[in-house]
Amino acid sequence: MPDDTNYALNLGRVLDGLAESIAEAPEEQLLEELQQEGIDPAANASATRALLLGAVVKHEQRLLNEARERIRSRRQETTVLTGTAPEARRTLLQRLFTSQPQFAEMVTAHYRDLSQLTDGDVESCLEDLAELGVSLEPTDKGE
Amino acid sequence: MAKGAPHAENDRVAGPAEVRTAIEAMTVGDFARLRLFGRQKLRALGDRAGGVTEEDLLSEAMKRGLEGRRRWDPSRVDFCGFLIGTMRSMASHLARAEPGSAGIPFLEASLANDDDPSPMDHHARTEVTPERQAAARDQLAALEHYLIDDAEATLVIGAWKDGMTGPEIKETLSWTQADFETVVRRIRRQARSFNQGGSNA
Repeated sequence: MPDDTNYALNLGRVLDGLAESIAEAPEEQLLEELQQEGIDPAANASATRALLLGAVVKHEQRLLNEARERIRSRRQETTVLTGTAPEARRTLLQRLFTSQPQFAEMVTAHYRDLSQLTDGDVESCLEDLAELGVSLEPTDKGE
Repeated sequence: MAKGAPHAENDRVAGPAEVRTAIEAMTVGDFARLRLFGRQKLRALGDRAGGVTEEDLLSEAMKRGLEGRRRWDPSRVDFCGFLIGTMRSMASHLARAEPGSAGIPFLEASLANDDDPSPMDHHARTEVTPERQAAARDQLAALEHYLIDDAEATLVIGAWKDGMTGPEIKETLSWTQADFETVVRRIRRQARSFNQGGSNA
């Protein structure tokens, strides 16, 4: 049942009804009403277009920043691989599989048997893990 | 203009290039609609708007669209309609905000239940002070006074107060969209006179 004494509720509903009517109103009416609000339609179009396009540019900048960060991170991982001797890479992979067995589940069965892997296989496996976001930085250099 | 339709699981997210093209294609009338809709939604919220401006609403709507938190399907609605739907959803969230919640930070944190058919119901049921009731009573009385000789406008205002939506009113009264538009335009014209002097605070 409507409550005639809840003026705030009723006013809110009326003003919201007016807002919804704007969503459906013909353009020529809106241009006239905008002018009656003291806003020049052309200036409004220009300012609002700039605001919307500015949001797109901001979003694109964020995408670029994220991509730059991903590339930087990938290059760091690659540096770890290229600057490491084959035996050290094998040790790194062995340590990764031992300390964090879930990483072994992220590669194919072929890769889990380290004794059967060539140096190239080890490098490839480390690259795959790096691609999956696994950090290849040794966490305990004393081991 | 279609309301923002509920999005399906497989809706894709429009990329920045597609959004940019859509913005470039928008008309002066589209920008007028966005400005007036945002402004009127905030007037309806009154002090619940918490200092949010229509520019804030638009910027946030854009951000949500670009980040995929609201999905725009160009086959269902044009970009202006998408932004209107997103602003509607955000206004609804603001209407449900706890008293004292800051506008945009609240919007940022609130992502649940995008569609609320009657956000004003919550709005006016929380923290309704006697002062706010008195101000609202005066504004309603002023609007109704301006339109006292306009029987159709009075009908529509009464229906809105009862919680009916535009489509429900049209259907009940067997009005066409043009009939409804003509009446509502008269109400908007009268409402503007007190909108420019205050809001639903």
